[in-house]
Amino acid sequence: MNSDQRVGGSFRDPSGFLFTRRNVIYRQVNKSYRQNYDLLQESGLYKELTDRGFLIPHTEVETDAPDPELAYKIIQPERLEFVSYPYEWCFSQLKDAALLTLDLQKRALTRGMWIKDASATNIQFHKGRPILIDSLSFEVYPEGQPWVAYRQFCQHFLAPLALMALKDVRLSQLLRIHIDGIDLGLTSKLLPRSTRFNLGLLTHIHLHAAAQKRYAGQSIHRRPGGGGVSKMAMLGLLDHLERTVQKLKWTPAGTAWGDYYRETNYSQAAQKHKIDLVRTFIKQAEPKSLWDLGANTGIYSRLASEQGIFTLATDYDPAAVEISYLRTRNEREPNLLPLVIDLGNPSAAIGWANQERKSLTERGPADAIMALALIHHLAIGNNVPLRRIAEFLSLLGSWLIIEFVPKADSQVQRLLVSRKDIFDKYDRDGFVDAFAPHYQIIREEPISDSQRTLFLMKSK
Amino acid sequence: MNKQPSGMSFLLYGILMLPVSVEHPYLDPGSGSFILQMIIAGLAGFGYIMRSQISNFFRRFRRSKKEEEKKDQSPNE
Repeated sequence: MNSDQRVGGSFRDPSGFLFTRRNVIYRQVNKSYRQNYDLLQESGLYKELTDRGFLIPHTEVETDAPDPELAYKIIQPERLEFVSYPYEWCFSQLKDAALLTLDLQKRALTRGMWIKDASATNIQFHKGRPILIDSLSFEVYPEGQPWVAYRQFCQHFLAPLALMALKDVRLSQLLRIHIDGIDLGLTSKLLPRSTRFNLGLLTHIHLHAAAQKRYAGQSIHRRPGGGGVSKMAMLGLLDHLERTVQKLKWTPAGTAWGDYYRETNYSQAAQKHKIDLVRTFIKQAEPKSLWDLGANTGIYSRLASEQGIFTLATDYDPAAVEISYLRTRNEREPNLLPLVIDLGNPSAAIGWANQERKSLTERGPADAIMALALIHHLAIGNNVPLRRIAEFLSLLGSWLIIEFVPKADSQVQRLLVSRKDIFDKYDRDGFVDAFAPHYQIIREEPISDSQRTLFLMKSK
Repeated sequence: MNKQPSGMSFLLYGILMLPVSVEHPYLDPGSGSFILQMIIAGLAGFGYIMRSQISNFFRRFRRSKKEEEKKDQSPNE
């Protein structure tokens, strides 16, 4: 079918692939995966995992296969609101995804299966919780074999988590460059020497890196006295990995915006008025999806998500996103997805043929964009001209709720304190002129007890 | 999932090394990773079984203590 489009990141596994047809996503299950697919259903594993919300549910559909010679079945997985990537996750999101992967492996083993890959991108955040989206990850458990995805698990999860927890939380961004997880040799070099006294990290990172170097290019078939891993030993390994991951902890502190809401120049009256205005504007726009850019800990994002609107709450500060995610998890908020995204350098399209991971803009548009207390960071903090900001935001969504923060505001003054003010046109009129080519102003409301203004705009 | 190994007979089984062959053409597991995993899994399996045995012992101990307490109380009821 000519209208079919294969999903860019789904080509490595010969068990099947994802494709879209008329804007609906399907997965072709290949004949080579037949035995595994049938066992997944017959063993009760599929039911157990979907009932618990650990695996994306799917329905088998009768439709033409894109590759009929290979096809066994076509399935339609439940649609995700948004696909995010590990370099956009905060510490606890990556940790929860790691623990889910280990739990899936343990549950699969009890039903005669295992997971054959441990890619972090197989996990997504759906309805507020991590979930496995690759229905073809399960295979008949070949008892006695070592876990084929052990290295992948360490590279995709353990290495970045250890670096984030014990070196610097911003090292999660190494996952942008190392698309198949962070090399263990590099991780071993970067981690503090004290981690050699941590049994979990000593074995799974440092000795693992040394073993990779020692046996590089050697066939394990030729290893004298060859051996394997019994099921009980496998459970022991998983238990050890789980305890190693559980012990890694990171507390949000010391980053730029962790205590923004305590330091802001808003009075209580101004904040209350701003909340009322944002709520009114959201009601007027009636979006089904909203991206709150520069959301901090997501106070305003929740005005949308609590109305049942799927809401992305992005911020460049991992501490703010961590706080937001922990609240999402603890209060079981199904419609909010906090992500670490730097708007000055948003996620690009990467991987094979630049198609494996999509850019932020490719994953849009949303119905509405919200940019509160953000414009001065982009225009003054990042030197992005107002017209460019308007152009970029118009690509992301049709409605725009945006706050204009004038130069007289103390937050703008802070940005100008150590630099020359070269922003002659940074005022209300300059702002409106810059946005006019892309947007029509629907409402303009000053926020009481402040010098700021809130705009509701609709793209032209 | 929660089923615990029931006896020391599992110990031998837990650390038993079986012949290995790679039957997964999709992921390269890495020779070093495989060899290290076999060693760690053997040791971790041993530790896992020992911990399970100890927790089973204490569970049984607590259960029998509770049963004794119930028996002591029942004649007064």
